[in-house]
Amino acid sequence: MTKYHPDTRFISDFAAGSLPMSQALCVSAHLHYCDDCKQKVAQLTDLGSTLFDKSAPVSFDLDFSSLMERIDSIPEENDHVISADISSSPNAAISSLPEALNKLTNNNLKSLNWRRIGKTFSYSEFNIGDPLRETSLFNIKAGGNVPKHVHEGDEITVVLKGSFSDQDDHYQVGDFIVRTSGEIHTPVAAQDEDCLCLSTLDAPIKMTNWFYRLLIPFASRTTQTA
Amino acid sequence: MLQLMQQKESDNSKDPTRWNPLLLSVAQDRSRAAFQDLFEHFAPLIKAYAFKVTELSKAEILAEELAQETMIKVWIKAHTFDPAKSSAGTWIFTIARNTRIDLIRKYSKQWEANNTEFDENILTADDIWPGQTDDVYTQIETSHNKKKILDLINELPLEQIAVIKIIFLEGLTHSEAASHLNVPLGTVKSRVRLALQKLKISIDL
Repeated sequence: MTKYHPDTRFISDFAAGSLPMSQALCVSAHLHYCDDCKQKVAQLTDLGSTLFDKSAPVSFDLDFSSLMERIDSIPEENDHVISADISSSPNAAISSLPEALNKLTNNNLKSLNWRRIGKTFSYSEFNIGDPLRETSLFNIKAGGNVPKHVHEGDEITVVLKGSFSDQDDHYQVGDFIVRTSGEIHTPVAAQDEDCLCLSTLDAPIKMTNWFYRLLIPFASRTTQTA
Repeated sequence: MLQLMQQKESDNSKDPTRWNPLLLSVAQDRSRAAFQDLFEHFAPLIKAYAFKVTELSKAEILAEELAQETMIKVWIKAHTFDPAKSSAGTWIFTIARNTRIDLIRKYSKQWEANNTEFDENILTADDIWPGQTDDVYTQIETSHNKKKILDLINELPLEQIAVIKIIFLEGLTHSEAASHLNVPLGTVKSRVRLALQKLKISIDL
């Protein structure tokens, strides 16, 4: 049962479609595990749609027949591309992950470019086109910990598998945890299982604050080819 | 902005499901007549929605493209519409929202010089933003919810309406709305929360 949820601000900006891609990815990962928040997003989408219905239309130059000409020029098989995408069955091993992550990881976590720090911590970065934030998956081995670090920017973490604890609480699958700048914490994975998390961090201004930057300065960014 | 709420409302316009038969007719019969009715109603609204991005120069680039792309997707994806999950209006709005996200991302590669190279197809809005939600939300609830919102929305104080329009239509984040309105972030947050409370949208505070 998830205990930590995105607040009204994150949920509203998500439903409105304005949340930056990396943070939206975190909210959508949480929704995968949380029906309550899914329902809130549906309600807020209804609100957006109601405002949309009531807005003043702007006159439209394109006539209907030119739109139909464009539509008629689209090859027929494209009609079914969308439904085919939805039904594609992911690798059973990680099918419990949110769809967007299955797509990002190409259904294969092992195929990612993992960087290891110490014996228990590894991470893999994504470039999803958000220049202001760093988005990565990280894995803490059972009983292991993340090197102690201080945040310069705000960080969102969503637990995808296993669980971890820090000085404040114990976090389980689906939990959406926000850490603000300046907080110090030392996450430790539960003894019985590896802990896999999705995280996005406001791109640090100083090079020394994010733990892997500290240890691997000037690490080159790696782009995953999905 | 002020014209937004002045659209004339007949009783029929309060029924959020009124476009369902047309969309179903597009889905099942590939009816061009039904699609034209949808087009004539929604394309100008989608164009207005495109104009709700902050910079006019960007909005102009987006407007026609957003309206066209959205209507093309409505045609192509019509068979995935499920009236048990949402009204046609919300379904079309959701496509417009997701298409706007992708277009803004596509253009932001040109607009923002510091944007790192990325493949915008690695993730699209449809991968992250839900289209029709699963069975957590039935159509009776959603249609009730929309009617309730419509009834209550006119009772909101102007400053609260202004904020929720900026956030849900213009697509500014809470932080952007705060600097746009020149008020602290906390003020934006509390106005949104008060508005949602009055609209009886259950959000934990």
